[in-house]
Amino acid sequence: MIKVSVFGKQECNACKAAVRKVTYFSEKWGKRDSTSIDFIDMETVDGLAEGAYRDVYDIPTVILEDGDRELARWVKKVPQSSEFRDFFLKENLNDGSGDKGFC
Amino acid sequence: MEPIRTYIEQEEAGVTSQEQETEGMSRPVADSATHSEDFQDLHHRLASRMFQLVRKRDGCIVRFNHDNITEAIFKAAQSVGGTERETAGRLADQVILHLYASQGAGIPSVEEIQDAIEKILIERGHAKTAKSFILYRHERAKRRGAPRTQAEADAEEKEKTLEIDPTELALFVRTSGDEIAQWDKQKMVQAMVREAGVPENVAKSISDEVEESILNSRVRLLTVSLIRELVNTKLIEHGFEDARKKHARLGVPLYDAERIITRRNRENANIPHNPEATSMTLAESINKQYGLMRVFSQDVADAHSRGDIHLHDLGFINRPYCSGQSLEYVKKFGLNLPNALSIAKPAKYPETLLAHMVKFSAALQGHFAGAIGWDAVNIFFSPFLVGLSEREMKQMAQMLVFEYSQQSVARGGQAIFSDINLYWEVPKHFENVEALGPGGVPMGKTYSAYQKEARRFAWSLFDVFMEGDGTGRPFFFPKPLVHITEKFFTTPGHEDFLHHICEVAAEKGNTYFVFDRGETAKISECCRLSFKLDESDLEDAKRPWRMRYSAMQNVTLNLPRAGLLAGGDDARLFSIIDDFFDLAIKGHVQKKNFILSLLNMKDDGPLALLTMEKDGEPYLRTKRATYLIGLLGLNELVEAHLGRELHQDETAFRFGLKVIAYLNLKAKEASRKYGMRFVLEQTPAESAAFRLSRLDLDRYGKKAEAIVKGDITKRNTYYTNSTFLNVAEAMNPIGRVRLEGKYHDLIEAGALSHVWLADSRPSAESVANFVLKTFKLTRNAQIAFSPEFTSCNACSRVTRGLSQTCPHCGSMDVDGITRVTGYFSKISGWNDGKRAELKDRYRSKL
Repeated sequence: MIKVSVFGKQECNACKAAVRKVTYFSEKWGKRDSTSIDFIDMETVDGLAEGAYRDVYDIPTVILEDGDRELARWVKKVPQSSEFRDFFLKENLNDGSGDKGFC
Repeated sequence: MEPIRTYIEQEEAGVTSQEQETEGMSRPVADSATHSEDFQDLHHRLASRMFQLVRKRDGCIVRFNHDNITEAIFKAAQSVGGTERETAGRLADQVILHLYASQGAGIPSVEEIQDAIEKILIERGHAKTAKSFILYRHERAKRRGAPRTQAEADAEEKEKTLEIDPTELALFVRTSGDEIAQWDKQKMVQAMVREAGVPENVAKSISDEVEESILNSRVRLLTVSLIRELVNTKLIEHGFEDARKKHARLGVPLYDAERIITRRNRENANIPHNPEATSMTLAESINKQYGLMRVFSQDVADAHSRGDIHLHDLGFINRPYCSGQSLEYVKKFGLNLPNALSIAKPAKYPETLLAHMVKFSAALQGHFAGAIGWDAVNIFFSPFLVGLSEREMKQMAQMLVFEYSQQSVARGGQAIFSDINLYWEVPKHFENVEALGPGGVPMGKTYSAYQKEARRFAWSLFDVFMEGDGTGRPFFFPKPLVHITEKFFTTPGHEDFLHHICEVAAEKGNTYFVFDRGETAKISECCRLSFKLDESDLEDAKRPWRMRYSAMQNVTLNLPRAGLLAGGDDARLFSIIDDFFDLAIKGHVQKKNFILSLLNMKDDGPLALLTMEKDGEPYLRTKRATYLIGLLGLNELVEAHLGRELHQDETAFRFGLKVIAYLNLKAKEASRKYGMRFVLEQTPAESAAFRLSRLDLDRYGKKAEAIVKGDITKRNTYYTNSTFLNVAEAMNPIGRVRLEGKYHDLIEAGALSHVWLADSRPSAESVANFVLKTFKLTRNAQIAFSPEFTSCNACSRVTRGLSQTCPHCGSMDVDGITRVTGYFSKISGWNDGKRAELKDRYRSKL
């Protein structure tokens, strides 16, 4: 399961564009059902706290994860589809070896 | 009344000793040349004014009659053949002067007057008269035990008729102006009307009641503070509670004053124990009361007093909290301060510039409660350092460090809490700024052209820090804050410099590593405070003398109390946090208004220095001031709320983040609402962590005991500072720095993580590696490494680690030294809470 988290703000066009782009390509590559895409609003308490926990300090920040393992991160930019395509099309991504744990 | 006392002393020492023994006063006393009639007249005039009342044996107060003493003395003299009434009168004057000198301006009793008569008669050589008087007194005393004769009853009745009408009372009162003034009831009335707006008829009525109380009392020394308190009591009785507050008198109990004078103030480890410091502490106690009574509203003051919030530096209520500035201001304008005795033009030599910087720091220390920070010191010094030899450069560095570390002649004998921000590279925002050189003259070159001198100076400063003071101890001030930026890593020589400053960090602990990632630029100071530079600030950077920043006030929220009160209910918790936050905002607005009122007085006001406008703007740019919302004890809030500490599991840790995120957004919302810049800060909480934990223990008992840290049985307790994880937890230091760093982006006005080293001495390489990891892999804003030292006052040697005795000479006269919060100090000056924290600290080995 691929998990995409887009950290942004409501009035941030680039942030919304990032969500639309990832949604569009996951559908195009036939991965929409195995992809969760979340927009995390950094102007809410929970969004800000989540961002802090995940070391997000600028928007838009796009984090691509396989389970709990962070695969890639784009800060202050909307990634090109070519930059995240391989992650979507790779098989057996979640082997759990990259889990960071709490401490 | 001092001249009177001096007069009496002179007389007793010399003049009257020339009096001869005069049997029964049959001969007039021969006047000496100095004992003129004028002198006697003066005595008589003074004596006739000394006392207006006398307390009889039955306690009632009657009018004082000078002639009664003369009569008593003369009768005794007559009984042994004396005839000179005039001499008796002069001796009566001396009796009165003696009474005044020995017991002040209170109401003397009959017994005290008779004691004084005996003493004066004997001392002045009238032994026979004295003997007669003593016998007469003895007889009277015996007869008082027997039934009264008719004659005595008549005499007593006659005396009663002499009891005075209280409205004609003429007491002497010790005033606040250190003088003895005549009793004047009208003054009470005037004070009530003028100071507290009490209606005149009520004030008159109260003054009558107070006068009556004084007459009925057995008071011996009447002071204005006592009168004021009596008036205040009556104001309360009459329902004038608000007027009572306005009419209050500020001060400290005698007991407290004595303790302040004789004992060390451990509220702040940067306060020595000397007369200047005790004067400052005494002044602080009045300022605190003034702040709580006049600057802040009752609800805010009460919230502070009961410990919901902590209003920092109340002892310095009449000034802003702290400041950060640029050396360019001093370079461009010289030292031209309001009310200064002389004006200095811009410096032409590096030594002069340094003197200006230090003097200006001392002046600023008198106008701010806390830290005085200087931005990019090595960069701005650089045009003055061209051509200096290595020895001269080192000398400059030594002068700077020693000047700041030995400023014990400044406010309250304190060293100035000073910070010097340093860069290895010329930071991006100063790259293309034209350098100001000697005489404040633009050099026609940018600061980039002086990189070499800037780096050499920074290097030399750390040479000095590495050596330590004359005995090798680490310097306490100034604090060197090195900014680590992206550009740092592309600047030639950065590896060597990093090694150098890491060596100092490992050996002496001085270095603070401030991480300015990405486009971030800031000025750091205090224990961890920083002013982040926004776009307008970066525009100001083109004219760096404009870069002056200030925090107006710091108000800390007692987060653990919110946890204790919420009972595990999230909604209740955030509602309580709201209440505390709103009180803090209200306090900020009130402090701001108070400071603005002082600033509006311009040159005539106490903050004239901050209103000087050398560049078209006041020195204190109030519109750019920040208002700090301090954080304390997040760890204990979470522990009270969830039963687990921040480090114990992810849920607790994330909940902590949620609380800080909530406060971050609230600060932004309040900023929009009030047009003031409210920002979160990790409170250093040197005393607040101790104070608030104790208040909670008192108020919440067992519930608080479950979360408070330290020794509860001895009440040496503390709350964990700001958003730190439990200091006692044995954690991998990089793990701690990483986790604590996750809070730092939410805390805009400054955050820090400590690495407590104790006696372990990591290599410079290990420290450098740790710093690199922290910069690249975490969001931590600032770190400092804190070794511990034992400094021996007997053999002057310094050893690593804390010991009770000197490992070299065995002396027990040692000082322990380490970081208390964000600065080094002697442990002997720490409060009990901080000492308990020191005991708990988990020391890391890198």
